[in-house]
Amino acid sequence: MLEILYTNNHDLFREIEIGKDHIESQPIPSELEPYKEWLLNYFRKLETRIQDNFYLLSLEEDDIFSEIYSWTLQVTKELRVLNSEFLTPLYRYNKFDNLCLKLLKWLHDQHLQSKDCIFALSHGDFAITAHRKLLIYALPSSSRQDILHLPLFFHEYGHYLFSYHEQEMIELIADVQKKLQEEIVVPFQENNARSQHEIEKNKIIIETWYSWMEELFCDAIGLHIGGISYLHTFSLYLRTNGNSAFYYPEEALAKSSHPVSWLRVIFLVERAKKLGFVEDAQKILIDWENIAGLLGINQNYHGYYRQSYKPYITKALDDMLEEANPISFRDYICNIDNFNPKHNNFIELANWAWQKYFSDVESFIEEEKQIIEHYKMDL
Amino acid sequence: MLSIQKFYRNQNLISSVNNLLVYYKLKHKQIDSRIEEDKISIDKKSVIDFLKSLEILVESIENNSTKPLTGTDERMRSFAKKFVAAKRKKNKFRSFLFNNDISELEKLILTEELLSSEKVLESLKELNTLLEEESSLNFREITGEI
Repeated sequence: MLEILYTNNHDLFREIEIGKDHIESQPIPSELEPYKEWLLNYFRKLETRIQDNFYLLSLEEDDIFSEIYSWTLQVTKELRVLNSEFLTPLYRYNKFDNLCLKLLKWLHDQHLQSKDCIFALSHGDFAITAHRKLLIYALPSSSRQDILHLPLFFHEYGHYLFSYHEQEMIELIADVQKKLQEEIVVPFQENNARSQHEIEKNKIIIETWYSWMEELFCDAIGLHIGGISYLHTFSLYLRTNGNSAFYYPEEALAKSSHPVSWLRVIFLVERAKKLGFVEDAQKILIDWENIAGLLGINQNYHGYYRQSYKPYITKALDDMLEEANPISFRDYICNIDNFNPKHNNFIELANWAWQKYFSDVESFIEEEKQIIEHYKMDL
Repeated sequence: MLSIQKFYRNQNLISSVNNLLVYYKLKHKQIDSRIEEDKISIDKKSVIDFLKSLEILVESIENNSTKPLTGTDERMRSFAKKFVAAKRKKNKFRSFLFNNDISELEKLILTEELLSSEKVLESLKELNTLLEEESSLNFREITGEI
């Protein structure tokens, strides 16, 4: 066992050294320097662990071999995860990332909760990996050059705010789950197969709402920060996802982490109307109804959502929003007729983009190119 | 996203349990583990906090398995269910932790002179076994398999 553990720890040590050399030689913009430093520190931490393992191995105490094996396993797994998830953002960097990097740095700087966050960009569909103060945002390569897509970052940032205020969020969600329980669980049920199925289904519904609440909260954050630009982007991005944007079969609902997009639109539209975007929100709702009509789909959530849930879900979302206290588009939009990239006001940029897109697509495309070019040169 | 978060939470906890195991096993033999006492205090707290959260969920499942587990994420729900299932595997999980209320182990961990006892160390070892099973699942979700 001693030899096996020595050999594997030596190999891991070599792998760590190679990883550090690669990171140090990678050219990156200043925005990614904190991320590079974080990665190097991570590798140093693993290096220390291996050195500790060597010390423990030198004691030749059989009864701690299982713990040394466990630590060796941990370093092995963490190195693999580093390689598959955390090194890519550094290696994939190119100048088209600059606009997104600037936007995210700006967004983090506007909030006390994230001023000292370390972040990077990766590829994939829009998503975020939040590990304490480390945030990795993913987006499709083409979206880096599509300003209309950028408000989706506001939703992803919501996940970070959720994790930052996790304890308060958990309490608010638990209240919703309690209300759901009062509403859908029948106190006395018969002891037959049908009742057992109902009990099991209700249990899954209530548990499913934990992650659904987080997603609806992130949508509310997106709208609160991005204003109507967020709703336009959300609708544009998701409405061509086919049937799955409008309907999940019951078994898919049971395993879902996100509510059906149509339901998310319904919640967003109601919130957008309260913020004064009555006309735009109503149009988006009708757009979704039209697509649903085309697909021959009616609203059916198999009990996972009923109209009667709405008041306490909306109230909890309001409370969650108040707890997170994100910036509001209202404080950032001064002049969206002419966007000045030098101001780096990305809420203004997102809303300018949609306004320009609706009024004159051709000139929007032209100006969008110039803005992206500006940021390509600017980091 | 969830897989990576779950993976790191488990890794931190496994590391805390390992520290406690090595520290007390070697302390018992009067060998220096080079693990600082401050670190051990932090690790003890992490393990106790985790056990407290687990205890609430396990009790809820054992009292009424059809009752929804509210105010908790999928990671803790899933781990609590695995823990309850493990308690039934008497030939694999035989330690004090899997045969008593979780709160009993918490008390023992908080009592310095009992921490190095066989029943605490065995319990922590089996807790790590379960955590590592979970961690390997998350790991495969993140990286895939060769």
